[in-house]
Amino acid sequence: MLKAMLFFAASMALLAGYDAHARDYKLHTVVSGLEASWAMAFLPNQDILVTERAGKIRIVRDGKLLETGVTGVPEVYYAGQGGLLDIMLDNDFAQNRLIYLSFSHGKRRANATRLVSAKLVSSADGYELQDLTVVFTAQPTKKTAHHYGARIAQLDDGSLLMAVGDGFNYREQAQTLDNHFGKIIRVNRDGSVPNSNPFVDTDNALPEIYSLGHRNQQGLIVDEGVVYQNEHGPRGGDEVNIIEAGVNYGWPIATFGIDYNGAKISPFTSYQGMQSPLVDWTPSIAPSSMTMHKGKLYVTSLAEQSIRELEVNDNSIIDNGVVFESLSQRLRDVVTGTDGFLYVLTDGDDASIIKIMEN
Amino acid sequence: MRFIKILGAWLIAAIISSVAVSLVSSQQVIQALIEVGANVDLQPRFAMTLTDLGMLQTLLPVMAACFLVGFTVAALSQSLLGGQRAAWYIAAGASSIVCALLLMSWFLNLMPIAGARTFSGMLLIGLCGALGGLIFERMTKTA
Repeated sequence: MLKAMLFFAASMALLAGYDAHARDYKLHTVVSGLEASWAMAFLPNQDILVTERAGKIRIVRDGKLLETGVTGVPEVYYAGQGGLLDIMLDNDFAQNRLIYLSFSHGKRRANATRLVSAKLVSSADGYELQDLTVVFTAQPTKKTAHHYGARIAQLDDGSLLMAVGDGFNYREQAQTLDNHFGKIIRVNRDGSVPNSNPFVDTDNALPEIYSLGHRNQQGLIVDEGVVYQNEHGPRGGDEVNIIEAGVNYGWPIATFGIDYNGAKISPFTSYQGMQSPLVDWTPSIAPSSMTMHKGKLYVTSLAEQSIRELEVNDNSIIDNGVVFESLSQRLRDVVTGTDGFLYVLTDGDDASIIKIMEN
Repeated sequence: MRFIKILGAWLIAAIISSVAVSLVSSQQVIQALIEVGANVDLQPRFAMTLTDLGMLQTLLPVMAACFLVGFTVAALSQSLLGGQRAAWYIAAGASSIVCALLLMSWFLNLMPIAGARTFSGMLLIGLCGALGGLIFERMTKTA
């Protein structure tokens, strides 16, 4: 009996030691009732702006979802995976009040990912957008309502990066430089092309292209000058990459994923001259966003309904696995709030913002 | 007995057409990769073509459903309007799979079989359907 008890105690001790993800945290639902929300941005005054794909920017103030949203939002093409998508404050927002929006623009037979800038001005009911300016529109247009990419990031020099997805039916065009499908583009704040872009002097190449060979990138951040990205694979083949100018990330010539109908996308999982992913998730987790928080990357997912923690070591990335396990629902965005805590945005018709309070 | 014969012919036609569509789609996908710079030798081409037959698990039920509708329409049309029996079934085989793909593409707003994204690909897949129609006609032909 004593031996059995000792064995049981030792087993429990071992299990506790092996629980690498044991974390002391609480979840607090800040607001609910958001509809098909896609991204959050925290203002310096601690208001939270949240995009809803139907074309609204909602305001969360003092823990309440305001009835009125931001006015002056541009018209969007709301269908499929599209609509109003990302929102980002300029690095110098405190001085210039600039924010950026990405969204699907156009109509069923001709639509594309668009990036706009606007000044966020306080109004009686909340905020309004003024001086709305089209910064970039992906070319050519497409006939699908899928794979817009659309995450926005900003480099330290002020230039903007935006993911443009492969449009699903146009996947091979991610490999050619005469279009924006499956690319990350880089433009200046006014939409002009930086002279330092890798393909400005390449014949028949669109000069905005920064990197190529992507599928549907929904995580894109800059941290200490390094650009981190994640993208959806098809069935399998989700990736995390460090993005460098001019590099080809392989899609669809090299992928660990297969098509949804069971057929292969390509005979190759790697290919000479193309950068393999630093992290591959097969089967897919459907990574939706990422953020750097206290020196580690946190990636939200839709299909796996999780947050994963990743560690960066020089130029390699290690997946530490799922953390905050009680957050088991489709997660759309993750951001570090102005108070230093992690905030996640859930997915769906009744979405919530949840604050993760870790001790 | 005739019902068993028709059932068997329908299944065989669906299987052969599905295999043909899978083979065609693989070559279309590989060709699209070659056109953007991939070098695909015989071995990886063969391996991918073989692996792609796994698509039959989703393709075969769709093909069978298409033929069920198409061949029924062909039989009714031929009995009402006359004409060459083979022509009706060949047309039914081709049009049923093409219509199904176009309908799915419209509703999903994307093409579910990558090999059918181009006009030539859709044409070849239609020919695979036509082959199924011909096989069914031959196997169910009465004296």
